[in-house]
Amino acid sequence: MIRARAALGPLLWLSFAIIGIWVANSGFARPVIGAATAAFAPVQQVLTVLVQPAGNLVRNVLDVGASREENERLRQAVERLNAEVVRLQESDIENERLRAMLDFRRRNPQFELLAARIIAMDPSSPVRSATIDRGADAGLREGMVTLSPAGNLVGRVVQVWPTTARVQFIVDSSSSVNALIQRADSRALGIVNGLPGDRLLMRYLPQQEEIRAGDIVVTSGLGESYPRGLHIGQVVEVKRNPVDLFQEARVDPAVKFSRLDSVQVIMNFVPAGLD
Amino acid sequence: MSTALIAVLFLLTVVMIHVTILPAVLPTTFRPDALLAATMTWGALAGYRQAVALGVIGGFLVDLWGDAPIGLTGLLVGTVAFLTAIGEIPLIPANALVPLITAFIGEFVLQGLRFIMFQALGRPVELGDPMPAIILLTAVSTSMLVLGFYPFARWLDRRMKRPRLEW
Repeated sequence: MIRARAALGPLLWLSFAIIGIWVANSGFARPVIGAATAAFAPVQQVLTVLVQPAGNLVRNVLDVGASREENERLRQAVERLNAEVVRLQESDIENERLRAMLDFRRRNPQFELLAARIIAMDPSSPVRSATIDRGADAGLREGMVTLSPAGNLVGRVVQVWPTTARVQFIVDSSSSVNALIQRADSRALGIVNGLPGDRLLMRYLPQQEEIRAGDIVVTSGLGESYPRGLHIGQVVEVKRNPVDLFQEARVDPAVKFSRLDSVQVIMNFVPAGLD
Repeated sequence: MSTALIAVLFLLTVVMIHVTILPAVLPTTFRPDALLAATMTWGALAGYRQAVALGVIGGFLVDLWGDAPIGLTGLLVGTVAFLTAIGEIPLIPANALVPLITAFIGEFVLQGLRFIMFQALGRPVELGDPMPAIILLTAVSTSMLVLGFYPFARWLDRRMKRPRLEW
């Protein structure tokens, strides 16, 4: 009897609940539900206003944590993107350099060129030279001529080791290059010497030649130390004194030596006296 | 104030906390179940029969503002309220730990029943990640809310001069 009553309880409960749910969800109860929710609406509005500050406080506390995480995430993203930008800029520079090399090679098929990277340079030294990452093992020999990626004259190899070599720049004070003014009405010959401060001075220019600022200076090929026609720079100032035998011209080098990071070595030009 | 009026006010307060105050105060993915916490607390003090009544009527009222079919929450909370009967087992000491534990377990039972009922009603609920974590956090926070309800419910129980249950 007791067991029957115990089983009846849950069954009655379930029946009542199902009937209640059915009635509540039928159309009959809709007005009652509407009235009940409407009756509570003012109370809920007041409660919402009252607890709003507490809600805002909790939101702010949660937002601080979220903002900190977001901040950290963004900081890492900025760092990552900065590194990416630097890498891309470096690739861009490398691309530009290779383009210049390719362009020079197309225009000068007579030269057999070997690209080399500058691996050491003392910018504070009065001796303007640099060490490149190619040496005797790559076929380099003393006296070989080096160019910039764009094909402008850089200097010549003065010392060679098995895997590296030292290149003396034309702006070094001990450097001399036979040069000429590249103009149709003036093929004046002279010698370009290096000056401190990465400057060049073209000496021994005949007085009767009219040299102008803006004239292009190229190698003359005399003495067979350098191939003919390599771009050295541009005349920026002419110093003429009627009492002197020769006039001089200050030349702006075509190569920015302080920014130079790679060179090309002409492998198939053997300077006179090397063989 | 009559006992009936106090009971009605208590019930309405719980429902308002459940449907209005907690959603406004806690903009989180989980919230404590105020109705379940109150039901389990009251059940531990006044017995499971009153807990079932509180759960059924409170659940019915909660459904007025929820998206479940009217009465479903009442049915489920009322069913889960039977769990408070374990507080009447003589071996278990009567203290605030009982509603804490029953609220924690009750939340899982309630969510399980709700899942089954929604499936049966053709409204499937996604139980994958992060639902288990949300249910766990809801259960923990519901148990914490019991600590808030317990002193008030105890005071109310005395105020209503109910005979103390001796477990």
